[in-house]
Amino acid sequence: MKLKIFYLYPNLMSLYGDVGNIITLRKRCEWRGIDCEIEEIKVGKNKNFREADLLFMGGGQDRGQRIVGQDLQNYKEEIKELVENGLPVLLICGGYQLFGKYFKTKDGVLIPGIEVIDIWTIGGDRRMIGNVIVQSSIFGKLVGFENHSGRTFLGEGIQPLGRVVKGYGNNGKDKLEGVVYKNLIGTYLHGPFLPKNPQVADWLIRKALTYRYREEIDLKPLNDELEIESHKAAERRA
Amino acid sequence: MRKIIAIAISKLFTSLLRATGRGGTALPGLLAERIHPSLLAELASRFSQGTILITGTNGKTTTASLVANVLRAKGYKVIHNFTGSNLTRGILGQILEDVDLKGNFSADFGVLEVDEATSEKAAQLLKPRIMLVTNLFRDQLDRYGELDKVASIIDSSLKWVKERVILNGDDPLVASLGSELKIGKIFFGLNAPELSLSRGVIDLSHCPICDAELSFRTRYYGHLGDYVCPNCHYKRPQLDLFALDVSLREDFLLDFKVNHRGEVKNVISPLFGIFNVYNILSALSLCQSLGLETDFILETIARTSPAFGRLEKFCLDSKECIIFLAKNPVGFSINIETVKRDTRKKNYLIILNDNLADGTDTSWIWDVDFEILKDDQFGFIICSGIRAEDMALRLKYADLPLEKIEIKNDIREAFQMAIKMTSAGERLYILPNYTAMLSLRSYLSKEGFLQEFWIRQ
Ligand SMILES: [Zn+2]
Repeated sequence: MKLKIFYLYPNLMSLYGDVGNIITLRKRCEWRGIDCEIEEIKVGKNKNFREADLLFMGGGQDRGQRIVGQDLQNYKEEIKELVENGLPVLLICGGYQLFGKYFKTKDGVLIPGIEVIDIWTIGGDRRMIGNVIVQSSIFGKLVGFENHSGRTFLGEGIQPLGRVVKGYGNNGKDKLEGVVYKNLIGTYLHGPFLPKNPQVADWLIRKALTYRYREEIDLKPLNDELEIESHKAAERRA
Repeated sequence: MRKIIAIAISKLFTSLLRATGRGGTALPGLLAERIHPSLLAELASRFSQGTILITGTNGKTTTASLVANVLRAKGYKVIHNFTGSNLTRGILGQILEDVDLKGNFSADFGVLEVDEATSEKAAQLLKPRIMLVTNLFRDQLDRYGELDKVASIIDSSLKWVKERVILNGDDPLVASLGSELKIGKIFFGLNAPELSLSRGVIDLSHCPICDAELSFRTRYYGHLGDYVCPNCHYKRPQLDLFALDVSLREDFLLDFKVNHRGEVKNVISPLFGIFNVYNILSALSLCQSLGLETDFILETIARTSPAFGRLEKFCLDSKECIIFLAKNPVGFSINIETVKRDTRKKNYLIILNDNLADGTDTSWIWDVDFEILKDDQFGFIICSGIRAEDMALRLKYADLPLEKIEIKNDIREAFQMAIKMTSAGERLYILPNYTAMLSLRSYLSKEGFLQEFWIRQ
């Protein structure tokens, strides 16, 4: 079996060890004998998103986000259609924001997103930083670290990734964290989100295989002792 | 009166801390700063030869130590915040050590390292004669925000500098600082294609002027190298001082040449690793700017050992232990690459804490290229510290053999275990981050393996 992952803008949108998610997806495929190809998508190179079985995008600095936001507009309709058809996507922090309707900076400047999901983000003064624990109905308990000043809000009927048990989440107000839309996951749990939440990694891999081969595929279980231990350590520290 | 109270209270606290076996200058400094906010500015104005301010992500401590040593060797009295306490309160605390109760002291130079985020406040208070920026990497982002913001803080600090600004020309972001300055600027860097990297972490690959992707003719570590922007033609400035023919010797000596406007000299130093080439260039450039002779500076540098915790060696039961401080992705990657050059049998103790001073976010370990250890000859890796599990997990995903990886959160127990598991004649490499290094050192000092660092100077 084979999977092709598009890693969107790695040199501009990969802060705080976001690459850990790519490493995790690749290894968990390899350990199961699934051939995993990672294609890095860069600014200005015209790419056919129909070749991808999974998209990943991390967070960036303001500058990177500005450049990427523009380039991404070229693929807006294509990505929208593919996500509606079940293309799995993992978006972290800035990547999560860019897939929404817009980002309004605290000075009132409106930066358009690619409107794949019905969410929007408002810039804030205070950075929301710290360890996070989230309770998710799909994935159970999730752990991670957040660091963002944008506050994201979900449109009507849009499902969050989970509820915040500890930390700020989407906006520090409604206790919601992230988004799940079809097979797309967006979250503020940045950097190595998947290593300590391997159930999410496996969900994405399973969805990607199903998307590619058009049939349900079971994943061989792995020994996740260390993943569980570090999940617990992060929980103790939160 | 306020001044005397501030000084007295801070001195009282210093002796209390010492009496309970603790060092540190930040708390006494903080108290004095609260009581008398302009005290630092007042005291700093009394350095007869002025203040030298050093900032940047990596290399502050080593550069400052080198400069202080050279100046002392020349007979100057120098105050230097050598314990790495580089917020303004730490700097004040350090100066107060030399001040009597009436506020009198005499010193020629303040050689002060300052935290990037504090640099503007510090420069405004201290009015430095010379300021040097080593490099800018991602470090403790949860405290500082983004790299571009850090750069703009440093940029505005430069306007307070009286005489000269010294910048790392190999760092595209640092080299772009101070573009409006009227005072002289000096750029240093490397012309050493033999050290060129093909992989590894890049923090900044885009032009600080126009955002286009930079093209690197040579890249040494992270984003340091010889770069040019294909769009706006921003490029590495002409270097006033550069290193060439760099060799990292088997016996842990650094061997290279420096070219200062055409004049070439040899350098040999017990400081090791590529980053120390930059540190030595920094120190050399600072001391030259103060009018010291190049030969004298280089002789003193050749006799200077690494600053505490940066690279320390000691022997225990005929097992050689080497500590390499590693607190951010680039520093860590470089350390691993350096250690890997040692082809003898070795073991590792990696200690990862997530205390405030470390940055509470440990995500960066995923940016470290641990994958290069796959073909390294090591017996075991013990992961320790508060986030030992995170480190072990990172190593698992770097494809290192799980049976060679141990988790032991307690640093003391981990060290004892590592010594026990290391055979005589083998080397143990210890890679701690900041507070991990402090607690390891305090344990090692208590056991008598290392000297107390604040007594050493
Ligand atoms: Zn440019």
